[in-house]
Amino acid sequence: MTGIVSILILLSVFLPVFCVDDGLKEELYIKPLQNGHVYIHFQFTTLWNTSRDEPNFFEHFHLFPKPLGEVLKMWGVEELHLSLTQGLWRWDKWDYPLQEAPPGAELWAWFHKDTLDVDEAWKNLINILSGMFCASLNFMDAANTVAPKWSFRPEGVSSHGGFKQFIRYASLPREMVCTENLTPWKKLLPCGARSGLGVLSNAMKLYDASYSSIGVHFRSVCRDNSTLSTCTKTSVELRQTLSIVFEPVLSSKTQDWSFKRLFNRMLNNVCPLAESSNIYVDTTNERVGEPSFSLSPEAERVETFQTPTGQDRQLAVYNVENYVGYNRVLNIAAKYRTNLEYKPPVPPMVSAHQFQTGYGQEKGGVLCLIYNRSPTQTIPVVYMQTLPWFLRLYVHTLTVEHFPVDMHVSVSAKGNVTRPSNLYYVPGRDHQQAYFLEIPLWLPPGTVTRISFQFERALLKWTEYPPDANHGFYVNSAVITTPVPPDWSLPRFTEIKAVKSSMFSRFGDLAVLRIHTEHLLVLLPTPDFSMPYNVICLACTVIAIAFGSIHNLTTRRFVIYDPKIHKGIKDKLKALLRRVFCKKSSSLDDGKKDQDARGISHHVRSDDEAFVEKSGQLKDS
Amino acid sequence: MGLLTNPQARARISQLVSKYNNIISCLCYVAGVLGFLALAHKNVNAGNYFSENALLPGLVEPDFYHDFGAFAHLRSLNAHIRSLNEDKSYKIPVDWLEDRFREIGLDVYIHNYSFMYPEKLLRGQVFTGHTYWAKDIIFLVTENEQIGMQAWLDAYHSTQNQYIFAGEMAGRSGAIQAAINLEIPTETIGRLNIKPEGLNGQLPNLDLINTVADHRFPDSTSGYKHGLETMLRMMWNQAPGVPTGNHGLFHRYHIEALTLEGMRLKISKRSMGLVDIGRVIEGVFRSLNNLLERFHQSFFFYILPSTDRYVSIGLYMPPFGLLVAPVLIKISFFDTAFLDLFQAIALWISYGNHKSEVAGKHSEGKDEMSDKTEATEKTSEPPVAESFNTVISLMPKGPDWQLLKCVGLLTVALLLAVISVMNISLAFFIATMWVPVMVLVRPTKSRLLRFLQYPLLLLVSPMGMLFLACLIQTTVVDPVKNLDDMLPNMLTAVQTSLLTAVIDTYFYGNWLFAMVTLTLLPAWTLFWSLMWTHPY
Repeated sequence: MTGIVSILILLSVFLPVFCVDDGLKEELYIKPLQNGHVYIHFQFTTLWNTSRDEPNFFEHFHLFPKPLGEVLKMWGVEELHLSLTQGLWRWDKWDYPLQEAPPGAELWAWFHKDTLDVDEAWKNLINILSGMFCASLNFMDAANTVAPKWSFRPEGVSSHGGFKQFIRYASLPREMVCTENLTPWKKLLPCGARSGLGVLSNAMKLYDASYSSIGVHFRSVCRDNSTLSTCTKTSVELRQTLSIVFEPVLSSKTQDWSFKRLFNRMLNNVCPLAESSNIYVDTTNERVGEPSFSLSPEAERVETFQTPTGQDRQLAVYNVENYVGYNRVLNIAAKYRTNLEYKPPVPPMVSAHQFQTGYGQEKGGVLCLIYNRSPTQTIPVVYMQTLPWFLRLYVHTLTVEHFPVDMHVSVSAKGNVTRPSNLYYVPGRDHQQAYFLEIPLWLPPGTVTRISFQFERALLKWTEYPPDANHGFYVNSAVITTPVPPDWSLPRFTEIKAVKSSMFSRFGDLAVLRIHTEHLLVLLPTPDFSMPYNVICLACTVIAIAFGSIHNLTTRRFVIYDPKIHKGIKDKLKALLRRVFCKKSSSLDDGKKDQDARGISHHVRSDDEAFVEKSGQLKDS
Repeated sequence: MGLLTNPQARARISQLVSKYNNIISCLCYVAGVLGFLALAHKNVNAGNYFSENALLPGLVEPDFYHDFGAFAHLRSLNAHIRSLNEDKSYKIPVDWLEDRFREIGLDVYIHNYSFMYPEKLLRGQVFTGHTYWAKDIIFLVTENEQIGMQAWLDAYHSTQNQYIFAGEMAGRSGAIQAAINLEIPTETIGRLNIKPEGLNGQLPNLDLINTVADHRFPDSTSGYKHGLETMLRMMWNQAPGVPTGNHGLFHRYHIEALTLEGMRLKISKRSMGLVDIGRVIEGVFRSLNNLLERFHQSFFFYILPSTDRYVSIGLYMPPFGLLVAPVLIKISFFDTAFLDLFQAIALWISYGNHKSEVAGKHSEGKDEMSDKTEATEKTSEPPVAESFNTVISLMPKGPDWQLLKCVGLLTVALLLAVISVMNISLAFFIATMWVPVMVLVRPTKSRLLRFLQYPLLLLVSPMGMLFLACLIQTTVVDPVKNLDDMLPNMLTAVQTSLLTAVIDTYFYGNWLFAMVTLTLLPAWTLFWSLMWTHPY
């Protein structure tokens, strides 16, 4: 009997699990960068064969995190991209990352076509995510949120094909990212940080790095690997990414690295829930003469392939399962044969920089330089910029100029001014709406494109200033989006085909590269906040002490009045008797009499009387 | 009827002031000058303190404990320069610097600019040395001193200069918070000199000076005499509005900056080496690294009698007011006393108002002008003569020369008030010279008095003051050893200072030349022409 019951219980526990058709892939990509940096990229991909059309969509959860899934279902979120980043990705030195992210927090989401009120859904979504990730995403309010037309397209299967009324984008460059954001991110992992690659996510080390970014990306993908347009059945995919750039040269003078040194942890098991758990190390020498390194333990296989431009590339692949277990630990270490020699960095083909121009507290400007270093290709890009409402953008000052990339460009030089053929501009409204600008452009080969515009700094209400108002106000990074042509000789795009890793699947048929520039720190005209306090204190003191007496002094005439001279013995006696017997009874009448007789102002007289009375009381007591 | 509302009482005060106006003017002037000089005494001024707690200089624990190869670098640099100079091309060793900066892992960028002929400058940038560095640190090496610095600043802020053509810059950071300029002539120095005075007399925030002065600095000696000397020296440097170092150009961009100048070893008990300087620099940078907000807490208007005492604007303004008071008193009380004090003040205010209105109208018409030229326009545009009509229409009729003098005194009072807000040192020096002369000058029939007034007026003319300044510079501030050289030196000094004033106006936007030629000179001409009017 008990056996049957236990079987039933077991069945009831496992039945739903058997119904759920999902899988988890853990991947880690390591690439030594120029001048001693190491780029580490974790990716945890959960693929669940379910779709919104199915009856029990997002009801029985297995690997997919339930708290997130419920939110996504409730508010009709079709696609969600959240990144929390500490540090700035240095495009010129580090080449392209696998997952781009601007400094601070960035969130963009596509909503399902059946969503009635997208703004309401967005508002609820940011508030829930804010609590979930311990980040101040709730500040992504209407004044901060935009709906881009061209820059952000659906990355997966979309119910509406990407109409801009279903997208919301917001970014908080000031957001400080640290352990309190990493912990909730780790909790979303099926194995947490207890086993598998998640073990390496040691907060003590991750936030002691040059760059650290966590990301959560949710989308619908095609179940049968066909293209987006011919897709019939879809699945949902959740990618959790973690990117770090370490600089091991700083702590010790060598550029050798190992898991132990970078994370202070080693791998001793695999996540039992994961289908596969792979580590890729890029061992290609990007440039001739670059110091090569040896890996220990040796990789089980090394993939060699060629880029379209004829470069040989190598990727060492480790299947973690084969290296751990039975008291074995995996600690991949790289040992360099020579010491590091710093060299001028070789910048990538397309990169961009943004900065503030001008000085003073009234006006200012933003200048963005986009480089196209390709000698032959004309590259289409979309430039996108959001300015907070208190920086009033002057659209008439917008200029787009092209310069040859290798020419000595002067600050005051004028290049080939081009009129952008198209422009999407949403003017800002005070306290309600940010200024939004999107410009599609063609970058001619071998040029720098200079986009510049002017703004005026508005005065905020005094309650709107943050506590540290003199720190300045942040302006979002500009986002430069470019579709990647299939023959572009970027290493990571070639690896897609060679390794067939899901890590590169994002670039399957819609390869888009997004470059986030530097964010700006703008100083607004700021009042001296201690001033009102000082003024109030001073004004009150002056009124209390000085005003009354000075007013009297300047508007009244004073005559000396000595009671001794004018009062006879009879009066004195009277006063004495009055004080002794009836203190208050007849004083008024007498006072009036005195005034009439001597023509003394009532003011002085009454003061005097009060004084006399007081002293009398004192004497009595 | 009270004291002020009673016309009789008021008349009595006016009569009293009118009767003794010469004595009162004299007393005000003397009290003003003495009061200003007394500010150097430690009973009058206040001790420096940190307004910005984030700077927390006490918390810094130095890491700079050995020379990090500074001496080796210096020797190698000297050898390199010697080899370069063999072919008589005195250029900055750009390649050498680039290599060395890159060797220690900094990002190095070379920035080109030209102003007649192309030159190069180099800039290194580091963003991590330790993970505690929260800000980028830029190491800047420039050629052609201030021109190089101005070109770099122009490029950094993408502003345009008519005469310096800055090249586009490859490496940039965000908003710059503070800058320290180093002038170290030798390996061992006696003491460090803080030079805060910038362009147009602008000063860095007092907190920056506190931060620098707090880092194990050889203290400046105390005592009134030394304090007064230091204060006057600072005012002397501030008055012309010419930066005393490369730091002076940063202030316009709201970047607090100062120069640390290593003074050569003279008869000093203690000496500082490169390691000590390194420690001071490290301490300052670690303090600045803590800074979350821009410098805004402490004073921007001050005079320093020593590194640990300061005189704020609230303290130095009253003596200055006393110094200028004779001008205002004299507007009201000539011998005939035809102008009331209150009327004079009303006139003064309306005059100033009219002036700014005229300036406003002129600048409105010219949009898209750079701030610098706009500022110059503002000081230059209000033509004194144009405003005369308004003033004269307001004034009661009196003798001609008195009217002219009244207008002249009004102009002087207005100018001094305006200059004192921009550059107190300049205003003080002009006031001490102009006030007595301008108050005394009047047409007279006595030939002796006339010939006494001519040299006095010539002495306080802009050119005369320039001569006087150069004389003081060559005899008191930087004494010449050989007396025979004094006169030629002085003459060259006059020539070069005139030329540099013009160049500074065009290159950096110095106001001094424009201000002297367009406001001080016309005002002085008024008094000069006063001498030729007919005395009654």
